[in-house]
Amino acid sequence: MARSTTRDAQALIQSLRSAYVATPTNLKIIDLYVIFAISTALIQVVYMAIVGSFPFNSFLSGVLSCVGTAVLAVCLRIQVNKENKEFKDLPPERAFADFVLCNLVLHLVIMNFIVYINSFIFNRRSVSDHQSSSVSSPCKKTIFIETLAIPRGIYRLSEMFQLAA
Amino acid sequence: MEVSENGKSASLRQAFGNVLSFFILLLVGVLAFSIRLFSVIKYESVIHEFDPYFNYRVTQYLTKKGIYEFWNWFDDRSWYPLGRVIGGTVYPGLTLTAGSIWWLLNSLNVPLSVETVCVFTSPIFSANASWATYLLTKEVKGTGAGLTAAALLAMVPSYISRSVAGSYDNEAVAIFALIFTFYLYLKTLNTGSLFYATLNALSYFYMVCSWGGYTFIINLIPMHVLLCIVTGRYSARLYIAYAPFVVLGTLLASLVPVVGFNAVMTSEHFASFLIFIIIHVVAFVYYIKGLLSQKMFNVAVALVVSFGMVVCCAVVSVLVPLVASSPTKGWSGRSLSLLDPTYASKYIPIIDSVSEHQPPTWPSYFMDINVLAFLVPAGIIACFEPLSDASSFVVLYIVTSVYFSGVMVRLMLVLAPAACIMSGIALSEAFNVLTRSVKFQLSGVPEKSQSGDTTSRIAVTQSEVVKTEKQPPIDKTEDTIKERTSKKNKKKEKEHEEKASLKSQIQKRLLVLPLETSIIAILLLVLLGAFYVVHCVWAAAETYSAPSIVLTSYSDDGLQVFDDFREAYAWLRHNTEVDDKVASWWDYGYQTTAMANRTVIVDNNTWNNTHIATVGTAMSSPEKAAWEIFNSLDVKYVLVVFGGFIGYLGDDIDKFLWMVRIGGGVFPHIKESDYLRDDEYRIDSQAPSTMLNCLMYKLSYYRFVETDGKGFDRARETEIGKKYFELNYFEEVFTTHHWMVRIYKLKSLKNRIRGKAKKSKSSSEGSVTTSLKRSGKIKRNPWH
Repeated sequence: MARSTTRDAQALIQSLRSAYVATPTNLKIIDLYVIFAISTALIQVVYMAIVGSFPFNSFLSGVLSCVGTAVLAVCLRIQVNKENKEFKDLPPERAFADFVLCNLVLHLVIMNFIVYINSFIFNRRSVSDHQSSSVSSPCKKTIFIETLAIPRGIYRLSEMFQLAA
Repeated sequence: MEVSENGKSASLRQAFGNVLSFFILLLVGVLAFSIRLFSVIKYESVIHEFDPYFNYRVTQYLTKKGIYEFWNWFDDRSWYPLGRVIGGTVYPGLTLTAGSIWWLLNSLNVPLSVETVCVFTSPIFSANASWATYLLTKEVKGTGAGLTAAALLAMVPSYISRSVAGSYDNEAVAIFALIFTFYLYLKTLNTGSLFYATLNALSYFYMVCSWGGYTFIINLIPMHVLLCIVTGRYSARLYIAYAPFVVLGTLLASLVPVVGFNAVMTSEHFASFLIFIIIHVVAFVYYIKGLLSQKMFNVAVALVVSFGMVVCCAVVSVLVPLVASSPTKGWSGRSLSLLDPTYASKYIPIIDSVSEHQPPTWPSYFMDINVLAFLVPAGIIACFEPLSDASSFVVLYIVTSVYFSGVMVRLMLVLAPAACIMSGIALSEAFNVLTRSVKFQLSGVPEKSQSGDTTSRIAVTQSEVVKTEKQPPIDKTEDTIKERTSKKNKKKEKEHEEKASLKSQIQKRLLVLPLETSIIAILLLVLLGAFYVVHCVWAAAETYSAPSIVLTSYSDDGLQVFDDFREAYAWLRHNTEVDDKVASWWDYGYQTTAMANRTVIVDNNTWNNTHIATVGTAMSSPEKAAWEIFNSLDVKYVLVVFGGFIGYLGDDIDKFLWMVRIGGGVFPHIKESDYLRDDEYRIDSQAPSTMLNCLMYKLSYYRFVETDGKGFDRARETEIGKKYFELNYFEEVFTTHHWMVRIYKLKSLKNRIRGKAKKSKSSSEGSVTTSLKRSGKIKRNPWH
């Protein structure tokens, strides 16, 4: 019973691998970007589990930005995939322009939320006092990952997209 | 030649149809605006009710001080001595909207005052809402249904009741945001464009800024996605419509200070996250299915199911104790009272006491949505032919909103757009059939079909099979198919072509009605619409236009106007110090801070139950105890609303039992049964002595016997119990012209206390525990 399941599993993995190799290169690049974004999100979750969740807004915005770009990249992949009958008449440039617009909005919100002043609900001090204190080390880490990795990923993606299309 | 001529006439008729639609929409907007102006014409341009005064005060602050001061505003003139963080606890959408309209107009040198802008914000946004309804219904069924639904929404009484000129409340803007968000969601669902998904998320952000009812959206859309998945309608467009919306929407919702981290931590949002995970699983399954052959797919399913069960159990075992550890399972009090209607009456009397939170009566359905109440079922049936993603969404919307409107009268407002959409669809389909019959009967000769175009239904008369040709959109026949083909999304046309090619083989049969029947039916439908219009205008003019700050009544002498509230607030404003504190029941808090500009103890926000219970206990206690409570809160003036002189129901004596209940909920020495005689609430000679000695009774009926010699209370229609008494701790400073508002001042402590000097002084200075022992009472009264 166990041997048949392992044989089945091996056959399954083989067929999956052979089917996936046949997909076009630009789609594979998008898939790679999605995996990269999800893994960044997982790293951030593990980091939060180790270090603690203060400030929570930085954690939330960091994780949601990774998940958000992954979701948007999947949407791009759906719209660009030539096997999709529904999107036959959508030019890939339009799909990419929508993708960039949505990412712009997403990152604008992220940038606003990552240093969010959430403690004025409980405190009467002025805005400027809090801005310095909440940019603590977990927050800085998230900003680091955020500002370097994701936009660079998008830039690389657009380059390769134009090359492979 | 013939084809080009037909094409030209078809495009001419389409252009004519577009121009006609534009003018109809313009008229609908003007109608929506002007039907809400009755209160301005009958009374004056004034802000109504209670909550709008708070919004007005906040808008004044915003326009005077600017946006940064607004975000960081800590208000110390309400909930004395606690204060209230306005920046973090108010839904900013309405005030920011009105503030920006005022700023824009002033920068264009149109010098409108803030009050004018606030009063007229609601009618402007109801015109916007009817245009949004047109767009929404057009996505579901086409232009004809859209125009009908827009016209119905412009006039529906339940929406008018919360958006007359002067009702400057959150719902005025929020209903527009709700309909617009739903429209953008359906547009994304129909087109699959990421651009509309972005706009959808931004519109949802505007909704979250405006109203606490945004939880309806964030639960309805996931419910619809689940419905689509379960009924086998999963498509890539569904993923594009939902997944970016959840991520972007959650982030945007967390940006609003009122919501903050509740966007990820309360149970109201868990449904969206759960469906987010589910849709990813489904998308992945479809993707793998496309990659593998059938045999391999079955193997994969078997493996994954056995492995996934283990992971599922682990995740569930972690989540369930986490959620169950909170006593309300993560839901907030107000949401829980929606799901379980008896919850509020058992645990949170404040939510229960608001009159808007009571369940509606059956006649109120007919009053509020009138004719639409029985057009809705016809619309539901029309949505099923054919069932698309958009029409299944609208069906789900109407079903859920009918349930919630049955729980709370206030939520009839959410039912109104759904009812209008459904009725618009029903009326449009009915007119479809009837006018097609008329046209067919009048034309008489069967018409030949266009070559190569099989996107048509087939009509059957008694003897012959006829193919109808492509008809212009104003005729509203196959406008559903044509509206979508005339747009850029060609994939819809392909879908319809595939469906129609099947249909032409099946040869669907439609009956055409006889000429006289259809003409009479058209006339009857128009008559129905006329009844609806008459009722709506009557409702708007007579019942929903009262500002409730000014009362009128018709007597033998003509029209009598009772402007007592503003009289009292003006007196307070001009005859007291700026820092004086005024205590009243929480209903009047917003008006007092806005119009009288004095600090209040409790107001309509009702966020602190204990503080309200303190005021309630003071009102229910005898004079001395009440004086001590009020003195501990630094109160200078007490305001009481009394309707016995003119017969105004809904004054403080009518609300008194709620004061007792809320006070008794926190301070157990106040017991409701002490104030009732034989379980009956009365104020005449049969009332118990606790009732006749409590502060509320004394402040309401002080010197009342001087009016007519007998002390006859016209609101309760009895003579009062205790007629002649003196006030030792309060003095009357002002009573308005019709005795509606009475203001009393706390007398200060006497300078010299004769006789029992040391004993009374030490007892009032003693700590709570020593005074307890000395008083020897079993019930602990914290103020003795």
